[in-house]
Amino acid sequence: MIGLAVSLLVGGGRRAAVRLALIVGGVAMGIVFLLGALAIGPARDRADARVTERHSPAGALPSDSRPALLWAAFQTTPTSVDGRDLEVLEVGATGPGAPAPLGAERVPAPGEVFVSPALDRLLRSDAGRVYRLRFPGRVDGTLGRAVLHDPDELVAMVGMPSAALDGATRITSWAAAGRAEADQNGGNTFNRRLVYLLVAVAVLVPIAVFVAASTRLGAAAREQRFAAMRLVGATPRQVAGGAAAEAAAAGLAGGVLGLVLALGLRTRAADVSIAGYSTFPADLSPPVWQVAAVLAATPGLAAAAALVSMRRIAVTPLGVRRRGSAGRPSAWRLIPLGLSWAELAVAVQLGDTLTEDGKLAALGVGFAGAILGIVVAGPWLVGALAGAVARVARRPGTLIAGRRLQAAPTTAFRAIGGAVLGVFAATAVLVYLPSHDHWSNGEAHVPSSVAAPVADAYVQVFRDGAPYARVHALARRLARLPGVEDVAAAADTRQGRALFAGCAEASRVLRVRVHCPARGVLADRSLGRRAGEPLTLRGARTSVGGILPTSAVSIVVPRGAVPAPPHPSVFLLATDGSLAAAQRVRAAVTASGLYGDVETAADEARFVPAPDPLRRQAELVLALMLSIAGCSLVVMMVEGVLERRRELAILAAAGTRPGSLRSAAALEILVPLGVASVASCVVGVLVTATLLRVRGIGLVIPWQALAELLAASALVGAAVLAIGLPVLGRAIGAENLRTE
Amino acid sequence: MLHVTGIRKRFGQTIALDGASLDVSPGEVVAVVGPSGSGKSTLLHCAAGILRPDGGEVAFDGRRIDALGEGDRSRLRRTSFGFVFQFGQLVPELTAAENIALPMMLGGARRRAALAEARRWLALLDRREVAGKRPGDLSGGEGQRVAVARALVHRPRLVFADEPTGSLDSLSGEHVMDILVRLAGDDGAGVVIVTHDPRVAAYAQRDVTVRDGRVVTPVAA
Repeated sequence: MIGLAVSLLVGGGRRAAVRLALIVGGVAMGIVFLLGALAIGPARDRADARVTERHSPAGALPSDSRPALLWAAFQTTPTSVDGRDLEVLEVGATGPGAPAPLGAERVPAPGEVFVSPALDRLLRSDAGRVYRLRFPGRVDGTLGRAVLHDPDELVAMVGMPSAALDGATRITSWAAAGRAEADQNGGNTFNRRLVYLLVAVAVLVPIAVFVAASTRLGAAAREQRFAAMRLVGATPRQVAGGAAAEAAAAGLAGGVLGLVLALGLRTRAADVSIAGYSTFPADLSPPVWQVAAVLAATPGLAAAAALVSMRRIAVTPLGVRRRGSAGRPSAWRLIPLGLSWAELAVAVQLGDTLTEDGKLAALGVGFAGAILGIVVAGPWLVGALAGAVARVARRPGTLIAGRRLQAAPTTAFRAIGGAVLGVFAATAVLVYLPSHDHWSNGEAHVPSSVAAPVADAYVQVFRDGAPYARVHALARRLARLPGVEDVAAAADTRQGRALFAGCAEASRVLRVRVHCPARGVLADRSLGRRAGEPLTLRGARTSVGGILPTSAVSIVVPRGAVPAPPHPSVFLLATDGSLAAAQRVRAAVTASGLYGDVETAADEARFVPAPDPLRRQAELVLALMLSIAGCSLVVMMVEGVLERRRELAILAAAGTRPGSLRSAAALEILVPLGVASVASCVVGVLVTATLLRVRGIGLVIPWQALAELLAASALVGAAVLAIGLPVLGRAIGAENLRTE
Repeated sequence: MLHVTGIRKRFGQTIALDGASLDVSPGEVVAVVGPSGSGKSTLLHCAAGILRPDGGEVAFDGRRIDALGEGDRSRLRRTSFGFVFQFGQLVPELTAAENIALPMMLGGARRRAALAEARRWLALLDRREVAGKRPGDLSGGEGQRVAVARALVHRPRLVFADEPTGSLDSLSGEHVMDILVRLAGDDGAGVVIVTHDPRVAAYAQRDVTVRDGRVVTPVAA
């Protein structure tokens, strides 16, 4: 029977071949989506593991006297280039035979710089040429994947004399250093695991629906063939076995094709920006066991879908008859949803008595239960809604749509289920992340971008044991840089940042007009001081002589009012405002050997806020999922239209306007999709609110994001109609009126 | 009332009609007979304005309908014609009453009035009890009675029936034909029946035989 099924599948003429191609193509698409979704998590983990190793490689034992690589991350100024973060690694070798750094073939000699491909491209571009000022050494090599998070990362590896790398990590062998554990960012781990869990559960269901829908393509023609087989003596069991074998064979072919396509598309997919950066193609592959499991499960799933669909029909030698429906779904279907909620409520009560893993398990069960609850309750909602629509319908299209949905609410919900679950999962992620952010930011508004600098350039240096002479040398060097017009020294005091400068100088560096008082200092309004009020600054008594017209610094100390500190820690610079001047300032701070914090107005103007990676990943996967759900809807809509093409053709022949038929088809999709999406969104907010309470986090509802999500769902419905309605136009042709 | 003159229709290389003609007068019942594949159904589809012939003329009440656009032909079919097919003509999800009411609702009638008229027709057919049933719950004969009611409820001038009893046993077939011919006659509507069943053809006042896309019996009014 299996051989017969397979031979019928592949040797059934042109129509059978087209049907087979559609099924295999549909399954392959589902597999591509699934493998893509499975690859995102490991890709992120691999990239994070490399960054972890880059930042904190294990050093060699003191007793290990072999030549060592000196590896210094975080010892230079963390800074930015072209509005993006730049990471500088300083490396050196204690002698010949030292291991090569990660991502490089050899240790860069002092004065040599190796750069990541993205930084190399930037430095070579016309627009990025100005940034070469930051790398006075020779750019003489390109860094590889082993040291980079992603292809878009900006990293420079600077060769240094070993004497200049005090405190750097000594590495005699990378193997000895060991592979660092991925994801050491502790507090964020729970979030990541939770978001991955939500997304994984939410993605699997629509993919399963899509694969099952694809294997049902052309079901009517196949069922006729089964009836013919029954006529020549096949038993129901043989027919069911044949259907399962046929679906499994198509599922296997689709799985293999999907794997080939996924591998072929990997390079292109790697170029897609996930969380603001692309991915190395080599990172974008799920674990082998997951690929094997997917390939093994697909034929099984396809066969199961075929067997389930065969249970809904009775194949007799005289034809195929639909079995009676199990009755209208009742409100009892709301119980699983209520139970999942109750489980989450219990978790809220248990609160901190649960461990982190216990909380994760409780939330996972509650969330999975909510998804199951939506799947079970969905048909009831569609049925109830359809009944209401049919009762009040005034137009034929609305009446037909309402009655069709009422007659088969389970089928209708299956068609929209993927999109509805997508909305639910997306709601959970969209509500959870801002709530968590708000909570972790201490209920205070924390701007996502860095505040504008107080002057054209602001340099704060941390001596960290270095001689004061370096600080003064830096001050002199800054003053001599082309494009720097003024340098004013400041110091951090108990009153805040005090700028020791003449009024003309202060006016220039602060870019405001400063009038120096006859006596005393100028105080920023935020200090809450009044003119004439006494003030002790650096141990000297003085008074507030006036109020500053800016809050850029706390106090301006005119020359002589209070002795300036011998060693300033902050410099405010007036520059010509050029990007080149800003880069020269940064280069000077880097070259000073001091750890410094630099902000320049020219660079800040180019600042690009980094997207929240978790949110971006979740959005990407959810967009993928809505696309899959859209594909399922298209398949089901087309299949539905083709199955009843004779009824539709007769209605059209009797003079029914095509517009009425189109509106019926559109309403069958849009009404349940719209209402179920809104309901799903509401359930998502309620479940997430409970979930947040388990963690003691307050609820923040991102109304705009939720509105955009529902708009995206509506857009999916509109796209489905745009693809599916032309099929309706062909289905109502007169050729479908003929009696076969 | 209906004048079909020398129409031709091809589907790819296949010639379905090759100069077929047909006239139907008000109140007249005409049977179109002939072997399978002779072009009977294509003749009916062209005469009813479902298909546009490649050549020849189709006129209804002196108006060329083969020259009308799809929208006008749809309106004509909706208002002036009724249709009965062998199967698959009822919307399975609608109740019997709603199926009958559908043409009136399509014509702009209010739902309540359309349903009331549908129930009146079911009473006329002595099938009041099936009003709330769906087609899947009706017997074949009951379904075809409902289909006849749906074809006649908006009082068409001409009813086209394509193998209306093809899926029924002979007794049910007779009942359906009795109803179709009687009720159409009550309203003075003409009926064109495509069939290869002599018992069905016997209900007609006149037979038209189609063979190889041509009408081989004389066209007489």
